[in-house]
Amino acid sequence: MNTSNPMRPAISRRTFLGAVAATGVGSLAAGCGAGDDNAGDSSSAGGELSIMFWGEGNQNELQLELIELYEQQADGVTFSAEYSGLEGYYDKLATRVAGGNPADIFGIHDVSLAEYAARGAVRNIEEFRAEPLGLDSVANESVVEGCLIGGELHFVPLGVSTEPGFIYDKTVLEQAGLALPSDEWTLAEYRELAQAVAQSGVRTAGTADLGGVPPALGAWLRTHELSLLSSGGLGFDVDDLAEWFNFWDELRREGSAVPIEVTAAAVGFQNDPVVTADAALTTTAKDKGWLALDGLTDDELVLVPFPRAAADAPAATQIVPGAWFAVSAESEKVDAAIDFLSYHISNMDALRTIGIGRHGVPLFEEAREELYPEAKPAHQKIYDLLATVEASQTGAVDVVYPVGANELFQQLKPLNEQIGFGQSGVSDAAESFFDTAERILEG
Amino acid sequence: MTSNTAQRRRPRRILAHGALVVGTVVMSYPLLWLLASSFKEDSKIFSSTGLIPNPVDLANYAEGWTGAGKSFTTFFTNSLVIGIVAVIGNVIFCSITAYAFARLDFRFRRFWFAMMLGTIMLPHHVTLIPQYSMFDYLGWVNTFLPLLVPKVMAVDAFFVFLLVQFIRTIPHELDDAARIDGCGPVRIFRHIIFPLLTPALATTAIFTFIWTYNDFFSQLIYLNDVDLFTVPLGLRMFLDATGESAWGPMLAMSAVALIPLFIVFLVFQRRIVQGIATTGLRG
Repeated sequence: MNTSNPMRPAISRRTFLGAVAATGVGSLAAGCGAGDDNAGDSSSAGGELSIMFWGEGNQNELQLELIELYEQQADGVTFSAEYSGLEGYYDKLATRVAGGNPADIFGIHDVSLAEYAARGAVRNIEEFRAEPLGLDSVANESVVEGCLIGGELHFVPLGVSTEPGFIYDKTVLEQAGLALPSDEWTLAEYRELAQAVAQSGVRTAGTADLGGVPPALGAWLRTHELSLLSSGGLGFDVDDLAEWFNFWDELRREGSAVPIEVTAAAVGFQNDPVVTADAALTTTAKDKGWLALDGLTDDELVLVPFPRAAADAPAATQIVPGAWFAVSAESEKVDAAIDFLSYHISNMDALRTIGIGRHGVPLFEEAREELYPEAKPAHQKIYDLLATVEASQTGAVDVVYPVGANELFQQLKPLNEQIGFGQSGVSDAAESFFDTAERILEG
Repeated sequence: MTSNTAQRRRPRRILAHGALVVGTVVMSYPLLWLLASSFKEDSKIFSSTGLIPNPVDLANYAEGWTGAGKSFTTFFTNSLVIGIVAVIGNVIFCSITAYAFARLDFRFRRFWFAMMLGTIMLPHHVTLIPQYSMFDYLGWVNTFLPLLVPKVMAVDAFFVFLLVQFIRTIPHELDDAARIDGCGPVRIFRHIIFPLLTPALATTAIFTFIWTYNDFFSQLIYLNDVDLFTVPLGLRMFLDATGESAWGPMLAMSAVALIPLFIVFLVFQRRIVQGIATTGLRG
């Protein structure tokens, strides 16, 4: 049989490369034009607002119930709600923003605030700060500070949280016959406790390794009268970071912190060393992380403030917004969006419906007083911790990361692991972090 | 002599089988872990290492079926509708396109063929936003159309290429014979090429179904309303990396979600091998 076919579409290298180039250029050209053509097309008819948020099934249901409550009392306003898990949420948000079709209101969290504001995707809502949002009467200034870009309000805080959450496994400590940490405990006491747990043999190590956790570094810096960020740059120097890395290196070497292999594998609440029964002390980004960890183990977990440098040092835990909503810069229904958000943060029925597991404790004192007695015991503990931290907060507030800072702080984990695996020295790792900082923050 | 050789080979064979069994267990461990964990409470999933759930808890299945804010009946129906329409679209339109590229002579054929291959090499992210804008402009966002219309336009270049390769192996003499009998290009396709394409079409159908069923990203981008959500989107709704997650129900529904794929694979496994072995994709 003759296998050479005169009609076979043989491709020369030149034809092929030309075609690939044409396809690429064509798509890019389409990309540049399409967004603009469509920019004015984002409003939907009538009084319908679109809202986009992420959350886990049960929490999403509570959010939907709150929206329904609002619809019942608002005249003719309806919502189209889009929600999903966190995975993929930002991919979708970014696509919608770039495609010129964002939702009127969308959920966002600390690491992305500045980036979306810089992209021009978020409406400046400073004019609504006092009225109707009433944010001037929020007791703790740092909550509103965590919503400002260039000194003006760009995001609505939905509740109050403490950051970082610090957690000990009460069951393990009692089994080992050790004294439980107090609200005023210090880093020295923390280290002793971690050592004691490891020596007791109830767990292989005392504490999770927090060397690569940005909110933990933030807490450490605050109690040392420094801060993670300071006017767009870093609020600490290379020696401070080296001291931090060294602290964790020593804890690992003495067996107080879990081996670096465990840390490298511990991604997500489900692999936290307290859940996998490797340690008895750990941290989460915010206090609500405690609720997540608590559901994954039968042990009793307790939330305490992050240890301080010394008894008279500033508090390490800070108060931050628990969650944020932004109004899209493209939205043509800003007033309606603000009215909803105002209802969301101050109406008692709304606050009672949503609870505190998702957005944190209510912003306003009156609401807290009314809802505390009704709250579940676990949620009351979060209220209690907030009261403790509020009474002692003196340090600086690091909430809104400048553009690029999230990428920079992601470097802490691999650098801490490099030290742990012996691939890098403590001071080399700290210097490498500052080299990256220079490139990212000033570049 | 032969029996001696067989005897000498036996220990080696036992060793090989042993290694294969160990390999199978290692490979299937994640699946077994998924199944076992779907019967455990959340507080036991990550804190106990044993594979055997004690006590066996069926609550995750009941809770998971309705726990993502909408019943999984909706998600499964949507996934199956999208999967089946995609299969029909790809089988018909990719084969027509492949026939044109492999057998017909038309202007700029080589150029268009190269263009089509170029689309395989374009990263998804390059076309994502232009595509989104286009579908948004057409008012198709939040419908199944962005997921289905491309399938009836033969945009899955991989399958077109696979079918072109297969058609090239079909002798031209068959076409010539049909042409002598008075067949035009359409009837040659219908009566000669399409029936002979069966093994390659089986491969196309199976992989289209599996890839569409598993697709998370385009479904995430184009579907907003929970009533239109598919299984991969439903599964993600159990998890929130910043707070509480419902691991047990998520794992239970993941186990259920594997069933359609498992059935497709069991029923068609011989055709998958046959399809790959006969389409010129073998190494």
